[in-house]
Amino acid sequence: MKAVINTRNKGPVISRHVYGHFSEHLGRCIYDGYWVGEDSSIPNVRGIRTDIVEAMKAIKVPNIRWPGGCFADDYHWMDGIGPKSERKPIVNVHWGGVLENNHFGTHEFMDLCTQIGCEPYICGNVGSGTVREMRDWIEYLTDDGNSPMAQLRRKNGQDKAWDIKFFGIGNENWGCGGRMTAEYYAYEFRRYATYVRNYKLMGKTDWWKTPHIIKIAGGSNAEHVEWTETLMRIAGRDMGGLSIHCYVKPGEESHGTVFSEKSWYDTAINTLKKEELFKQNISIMDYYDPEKRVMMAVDEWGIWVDNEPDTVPGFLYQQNTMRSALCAVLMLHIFHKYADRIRLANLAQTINVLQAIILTEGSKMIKTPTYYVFDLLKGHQDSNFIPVEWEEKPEKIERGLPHVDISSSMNAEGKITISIVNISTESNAEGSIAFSGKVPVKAIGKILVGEVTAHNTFENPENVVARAFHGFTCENGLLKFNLPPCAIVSLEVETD
Amino acid sequence: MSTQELCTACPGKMQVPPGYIEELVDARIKSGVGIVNDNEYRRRMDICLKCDSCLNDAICMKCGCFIQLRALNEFRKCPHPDGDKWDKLEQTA
Repeated sequence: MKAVINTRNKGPVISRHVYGHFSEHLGRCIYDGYWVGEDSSIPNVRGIRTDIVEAMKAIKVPNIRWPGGCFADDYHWMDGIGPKSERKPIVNVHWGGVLENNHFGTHEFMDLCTQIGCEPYICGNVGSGTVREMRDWIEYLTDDGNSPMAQLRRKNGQDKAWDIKFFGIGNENWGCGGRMTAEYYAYEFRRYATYVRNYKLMGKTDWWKTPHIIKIAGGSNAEHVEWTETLMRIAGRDMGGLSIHCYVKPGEESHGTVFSEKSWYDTAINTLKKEELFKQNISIMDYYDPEKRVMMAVDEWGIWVDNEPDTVPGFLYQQNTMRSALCAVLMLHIFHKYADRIRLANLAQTINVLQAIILTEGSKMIKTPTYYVFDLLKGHQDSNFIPVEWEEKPEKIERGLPHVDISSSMNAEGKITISIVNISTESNAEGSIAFSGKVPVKAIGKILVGEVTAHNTFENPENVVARAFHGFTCENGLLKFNLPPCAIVSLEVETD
Repeated sequence: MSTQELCTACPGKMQVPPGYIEELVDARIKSGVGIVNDNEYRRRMDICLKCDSCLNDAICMKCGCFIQLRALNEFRKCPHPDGDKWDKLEQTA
């Protein structure tokens, strides 16, 4: 196979925010995940696990969506502020009826984002909340003046208002978020969104310097394009983003770690099929919003496999293998392709839930293969997408799948990031990449490789990790590569 | 909307049916593989049931396991971050 990367053919910027994560009050994502409390023997800063923060900083996590998910539409933010001893507990009705003590609330979430250095993406309550409740939360978060909510925030120890870039107006409002029809929700969205204002703008003569909050409407699970059509038609002008949720099934073999190569290929096929769904939704958005002002926010995505044996099904605690990593890299490549519309995405659900990047057990923590995908591909963040052209296409393998999937981008300094996945479980992928517009000088490679079922455990935490990759040459303007089977590679290419 | 599937958290989808844990325990005992003896099982269960990380007498919040299943497994340790509670008591016994 022979590819060409023409750097003159610069596409849209791949927003770093498609590398975001989703963290819901579900199972052990928040409690006994991020949050261990100030008195824990596990090293923490103000109750938040230090090892998790460090791991997330290392892959440049750009944003976290919180508190849900389904949980968001039953979450009442005022129960999660003030002295912890006085906070009212909440029964997590969606996820196992667990009684949570509300010790992780608004201040703790904002502290988590500050420690990681990422943007908060808060999802508000439409299903069981009120416009006033949401409006007050926004005032509490963003007002630097002397409003009642700003004063309450100061009383609770936070003087300066926070910056809120993204705010979700409900979640899955066709289902757990209120069982609404598309039309009903569209009008509800408009009503709620009217009162989601950035209070930092109030009374400022230079108000245009302060960004508006991007209001994200609850979307469908990608297959129901009529939801997208109704939302765009009725409320498109009022939204900054429209959510889409996209979970991938691994075929019939849904066990977390015991499956055949068939499931690996099923996962590749099922992930790549999602592109068609995105295209359908995007075409509707293009009709109502040809300027692409409204972004598509794939704010829940990932592979969905069985929970681990012995664990509570409702906690969605799943292992994570090279199969999961395959799903992640293929999906991220799709996001790159539609970077002009897909500008926010959140992998579900960061710690101990679904396609987690981190698993914990007591004081132990492991990074999953999916974590390393985000490490390998982080060079794409905020770089311009460069479509790969083919002089000689990759051969077809199992059930018409391409042997490799490649994505490339170039950042403002001219550094090119290329990510390649060898989808074959049997044969090496050999090929070359020629460059047009820029001449490659040198490259650094990283590889994640293993059997399809390879994964990390608390007993063997480094079975699958990113390592240096040397299976390439970069000479005379040509990059030649040779990837082993089931491998994901990133190449950071410096140009003249 | 009516054509949408129920979302994953909708009522009933995530509930543990009656007898679910007992069935799993019975199946594990019948398999006879890697299980502790009855005395050790009871000892571990007593510790778990007094632990502040045990939820609803069934779930360990440090690992997400049903305590009945984790306690039965001879290769598993107590995951408490302050140290293995099963092991600690064994030493002091």
